[in-house]
Amino acid sequence: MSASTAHVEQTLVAREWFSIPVVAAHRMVIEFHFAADGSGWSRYAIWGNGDVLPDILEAEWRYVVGEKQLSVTWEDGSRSEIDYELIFETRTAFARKGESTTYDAVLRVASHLFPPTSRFPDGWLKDYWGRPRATGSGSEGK
Amino acid sequence: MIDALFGPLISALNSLRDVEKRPAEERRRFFTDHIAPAQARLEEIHKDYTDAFLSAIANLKKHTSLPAIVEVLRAERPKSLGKRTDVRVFLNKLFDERFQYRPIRKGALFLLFYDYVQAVEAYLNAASPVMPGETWYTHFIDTFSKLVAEGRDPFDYDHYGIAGHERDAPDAARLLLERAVNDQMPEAWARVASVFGELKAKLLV
Repeated sequence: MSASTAHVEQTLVAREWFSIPVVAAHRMVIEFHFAADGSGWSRYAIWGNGDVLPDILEAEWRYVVGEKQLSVTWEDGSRSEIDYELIFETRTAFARKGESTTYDAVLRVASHLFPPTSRFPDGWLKDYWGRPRATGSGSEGK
Repeated sequence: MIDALFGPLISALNSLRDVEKRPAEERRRFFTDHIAPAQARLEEIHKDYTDAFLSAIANLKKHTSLPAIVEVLRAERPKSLGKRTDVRVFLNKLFDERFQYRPIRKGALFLLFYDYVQAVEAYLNAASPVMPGETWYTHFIDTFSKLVAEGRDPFDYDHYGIAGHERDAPDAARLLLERAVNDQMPEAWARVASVFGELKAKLLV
């Protein structure tokens, strides 16, 4: 692993990553997490009108960081090579109620981190915003 | 109605984790005590509401059986089943448990149970078109009912514009009922049936 890929991996692991829609008709969350042991998981959750429980799609995978690609192995053993770009810039997202969250990095990927065979609707922006991981936020294996 | 549907599911959540590793007989009992009764009640709801909506659609098209139309339009929608406090507490607890942990730490039975309850909630939503409480609908149904009670023909009344778009209100209500019966309810029901089948296969092996 080169110094630059090590830095990318460090950045990926140190943050939690979310897709932030500009406008969404329904409440939803798209997120993924990288763990230091080479494992990762992604979650897409979308709520129907007034529902408490979202429809959830989750995937677990293993990843290897390359210079320009993430090599992702899905649970069924198939693999995807996903082009990526890591951008360090500050972005702020505002929720409807007015509260804001600041993100300090953007991971731009060529395809979402869900298996190609999944029922994930591939229409969202492929920019994931990263913010420093809160302690005990899930990817440590909680 | 609410206890028959959500009661078995609420009581299932407490014993869910233990069940997966229990002997086949206990898993079977879990299915027959918790999942099967809820599914049976939901099947009744599905049939009742499908029949009622189809009947209302036919009557709205033919302008017949006005009191029956009013009854269906005024009837409580399945979505309201999920509004009771104990049901909300259950759904919130299930959501918290489902969302808190990364996937690998969740048992397969818990995931299926979540998917089932989620599908049930989505079905109740799909089977709740033109909810009383929505502004245009409430106004429309009040007007429609009043005209029927007065012995006047509500289809001769100009409801135009009440539905908030370029369609007469009785027409808009009928179209929403048709969309529910023809598309949204069958789609949501197919998901319920599919997850129920998976649960059954897992618990009755």
